[in-house]
Amino acid sequence: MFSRRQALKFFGFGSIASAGLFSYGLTSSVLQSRNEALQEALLQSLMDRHHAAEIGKAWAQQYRLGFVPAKLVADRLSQRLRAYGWHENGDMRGLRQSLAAAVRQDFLEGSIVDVRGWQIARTQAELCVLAHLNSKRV
Amino acid sequence: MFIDGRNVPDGTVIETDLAIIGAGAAGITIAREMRNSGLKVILIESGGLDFDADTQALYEGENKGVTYPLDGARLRYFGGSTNHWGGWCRPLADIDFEERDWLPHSGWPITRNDLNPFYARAQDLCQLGSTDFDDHEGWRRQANLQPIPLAGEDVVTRYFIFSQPTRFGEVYRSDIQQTQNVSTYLYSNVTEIVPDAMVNKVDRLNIATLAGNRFIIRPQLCVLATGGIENARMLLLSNSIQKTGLGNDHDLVGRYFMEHVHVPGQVAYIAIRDHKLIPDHYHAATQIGAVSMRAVLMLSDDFLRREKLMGTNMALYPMRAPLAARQDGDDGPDSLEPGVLQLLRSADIDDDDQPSSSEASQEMIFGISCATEQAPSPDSRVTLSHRRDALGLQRTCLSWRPSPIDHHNLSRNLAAVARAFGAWGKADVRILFSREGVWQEAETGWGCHHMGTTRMSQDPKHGVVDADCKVHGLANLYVAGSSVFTTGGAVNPTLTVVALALRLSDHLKSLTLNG
Repeated sequence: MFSRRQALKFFGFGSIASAGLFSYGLTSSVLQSRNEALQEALLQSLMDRHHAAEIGKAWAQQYRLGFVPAKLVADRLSQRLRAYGWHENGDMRGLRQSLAAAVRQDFLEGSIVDVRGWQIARTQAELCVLAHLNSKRV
Repeated sequence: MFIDGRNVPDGTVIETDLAIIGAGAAGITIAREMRNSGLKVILIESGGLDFDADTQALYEGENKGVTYPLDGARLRYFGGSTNHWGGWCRPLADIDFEERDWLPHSGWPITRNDLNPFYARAQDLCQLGSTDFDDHEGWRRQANLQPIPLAGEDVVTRYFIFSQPTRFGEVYRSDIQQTQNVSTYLYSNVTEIVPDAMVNKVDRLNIATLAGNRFIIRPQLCVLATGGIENARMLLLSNSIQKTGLGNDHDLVGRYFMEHVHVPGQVAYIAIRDHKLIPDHYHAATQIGAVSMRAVLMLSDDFLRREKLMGTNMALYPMRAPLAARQDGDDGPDSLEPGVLQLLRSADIDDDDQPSSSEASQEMIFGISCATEQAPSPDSRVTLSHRRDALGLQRTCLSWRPSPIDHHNLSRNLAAVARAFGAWGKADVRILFSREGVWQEAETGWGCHHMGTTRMSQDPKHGVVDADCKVHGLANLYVAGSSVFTTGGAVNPTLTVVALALRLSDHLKSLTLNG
């Protein structure tokens, strides 16, 4: 089971790294728009972003995650999905296949998030967090 | 021959080769097996041929733990508790008999192999029509039944076969009545099993009726077969010579009471993409020729050994269509359901590699109900109450409460189920069972499966009866029924009770053949 401690470690260290990137001035509008495109590509896999965002919100509240940058979540997710064959220029079927493989592996490894009793694969939970962060941005 | 004990003259003494106390599944099985044995057999039953409220009231008692229905969880008339039996049958597994180093007090002195021939005979008596419990290929061939293809090897499909259910008191009444060498005394209550002065063997049984008359039966051999609670009570009540009760030199009689903890309602929900993926034989009794069967989910022996856990059996029930949409402002327990189902759709690739439809019409919420094994504990026990029944005997006092170990065990098993469904990719699981590590009052249910109070062990310091079900230290007293279970497994006990009774019958016959 993915614990609050693990969630904080994952997102917490990520937040520091992300802040570091900003402080060294390595971001640019190009990089930012590229990441927004990445986020959009990932969110395309969801059939219902609104309800996914509700899960993401519930998880963030339950684990008291605080501020988590969407960019970081998207980077981590895309990294994981690439390990299952996904690439940004691929089609929707490829994205779903990679997502299905990642979800299966999460469950087999016990990399599972408990959100109000629902046992959700970590990859999907992070996708829901991404949907939640994007819904706030909108 | 049936004899109404209320008509036996006061002070009568009756000699017999074998006395069987209790005409339930075990007692009737043994009496029936004694046909043509050449032995004079007396079967003693507290009740009559039908339910009688005054007799049933002898079962009332007090609880010191969970409020357990001592008078409702069993029946006291000819046929015993088979008169309200649900009929679920399945043998214990190999692992259930083993000594498990992670489970204190586990380990029967017999194996599943020792019981296999008796399970085969027991299925006849229980009218099952088959012993092919886990013959997946056979079920597929006969009725195209397929197991749910869950991911991994941890959660497996197992099959129960249903008895009619066989009401032993009705189905075998004429057998018992017509058997020349068996006399059944109805309305006859054993008030004490009295040993000889040296407490080496049973000397006599004191009998009383609610009408007030009393008589004595003197057996050469005696089998106590009054059920998982009453067997212990009877031994404790037999204390006029041995003050701690019979078979109780090591203070074990009544201890290690076990149930199968049944959590009322559902312990989990399954949100599934298509209800047809959970075939009908998982959620209803399914008739295949003469056999009525139903599939359940259990944990594999390998998983239980690897994770050092006890067993659980889980039945599935279709509950309802999923919620279509979350209501704004609703943060209740079901509010995430629409989101979870859309996640399933999002990651579900059908066999033709096409993304599946977003239509929700085939989606379904199933419930999981469960019965789970309980760790044997010496503190879970039957003792004698200070209150007395209509015969003047001390009533039962039961101290039973599932432990944190049992809670932890069920939590881990449910997590395994969630992993197996999730990795399958067609369903997600929501666990409803509490995470606090202790049993909530509303979660603590039972299956009327009373086990363990005269447990079996070759060592008198660890058990009341030996591998032959003979009470340690007494030459001619045997115990039949679920009270001899060393551990309870995760399946209903009646088939094993009957198998053990058949095994005991063969043993008794071999004793008499050998003089």
